[in-house]
Amino acid sequence: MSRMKWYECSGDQPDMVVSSRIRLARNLVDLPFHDRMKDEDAKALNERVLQALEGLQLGDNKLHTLKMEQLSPVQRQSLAERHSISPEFATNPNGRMLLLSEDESIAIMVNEEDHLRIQVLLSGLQLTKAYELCSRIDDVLDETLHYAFDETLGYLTSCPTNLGTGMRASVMMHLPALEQSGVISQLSNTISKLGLTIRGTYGEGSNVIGSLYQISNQITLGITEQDSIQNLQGVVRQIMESEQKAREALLKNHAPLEDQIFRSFGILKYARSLSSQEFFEHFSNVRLGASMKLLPVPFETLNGLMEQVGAATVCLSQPEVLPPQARDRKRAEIVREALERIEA
Amino acid sequence: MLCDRCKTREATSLYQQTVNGKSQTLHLCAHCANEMLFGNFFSDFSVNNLFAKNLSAMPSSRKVCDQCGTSYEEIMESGRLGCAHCYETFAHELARSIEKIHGKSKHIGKVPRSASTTIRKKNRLTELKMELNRAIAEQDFEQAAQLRDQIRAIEGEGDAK
Repeated sequence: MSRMKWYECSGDQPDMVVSSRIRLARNLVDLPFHDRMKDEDAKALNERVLQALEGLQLGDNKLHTLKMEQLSPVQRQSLAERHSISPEFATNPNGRMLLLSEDESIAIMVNEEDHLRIQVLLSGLQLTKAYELCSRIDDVLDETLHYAFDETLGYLTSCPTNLGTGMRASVMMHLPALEQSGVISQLSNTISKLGLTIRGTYGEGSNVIGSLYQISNQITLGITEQDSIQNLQGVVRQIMESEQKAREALLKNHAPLEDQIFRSFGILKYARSLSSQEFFEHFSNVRLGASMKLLPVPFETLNGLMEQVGAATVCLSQPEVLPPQARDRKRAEIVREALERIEA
Repeated sequence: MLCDRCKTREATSLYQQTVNGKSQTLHLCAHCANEMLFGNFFSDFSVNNLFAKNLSAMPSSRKVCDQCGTSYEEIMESGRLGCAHCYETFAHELARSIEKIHGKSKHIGKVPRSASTTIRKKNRLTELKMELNRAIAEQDFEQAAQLRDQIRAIEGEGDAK
């Protein structure tokens, strides 16, 4: 049996935190940055990174080398949907390489906007653990590659917004109750004053898709990695407390909420066609139901579903992306299978 | 209506993104909508436009980086630099906007092993001194004494040489 994926593993605070991610931007001292690189530079970089990684010990979680131009557009888009690569990396595959661990928690993009983007993605709230792993990989790579670094500016990055630590830490949170009580915009104001950013993506309705919000650090210069992570973690914990209170308030009006949760479970469990939007709407209710112990759906199953329902990911077994209707049927099939054995 | 993002396909969905309370509405085709929906997770890294915007307020310079040939105009346009040396070439032009973005201008985080040990030591000292101040402020004197000893030990190493 193959190793469990990161999203199939459990993390801390799974009822509100979907995933934690750390990403480091690094460049080599002896090569121009991405915009100025020639094809042979990019090729040489790929070779050197592969060589440098021979010194990395990851046990049975071995790294797979994926040359982006050898993948089909569907495969590339699916990797972007599952957050292993950036959409831009998927759209322009030439000369680019991805190193992806067996459990998909480690993704090293080579020849992105920076020479290296080292990412570790873990389920639940596990920022420190993600940073430690990321930093260990970082050290191994630096040993042979030698990074561009300046005493004052820190790690030199293609875009100055990443100078300093070159680190982005982010946490994806599920905040249905805060969203319903309408305090998210208020929260955004406070968060931006703390040097952090909160993002959500709006769909066709008035709610953020899946009530999923990403909170990340904005500032990378003049702050240590540890303080940056502590800040973020502190804010995440405060948001969790508010979300908890908001959920308790929602429960006072128990009957309609319960009805909504069970209806959504019914739709996900039995629907024959699900658009992305519709999936996330019901997914959010079911996730809330699981948190409130109204539904016996494991968070690992829910997190896994999120990774499997992207438009390209549902078409992975096909040579190209299916038309929307066929895709929606395929998506419903995947969701049904995942929830088949779960009885409310 | 054509898609606001690719400007080639027909727009079929309305996409609204909110970052820190500021909303932006786009008309997108199915392809771009999907990319934006799942790509949102990655957008935090590319605030380049913001950086370029900050830069354009600066007086223009005709300097060109002697290692990679990037001009200041090009940096202003893309928000990205051509090579590590550009940071030296355009140090003066970039300083203000770097500080505007980060609110600080001095790195105090991790130092790669490949960088000289002196930098590492200096940064470690800055970090320890900050921790010391914090410990004093929190009246954690036991911790403060430990930190003071660590600082002395590191400073002592330098004197011995």
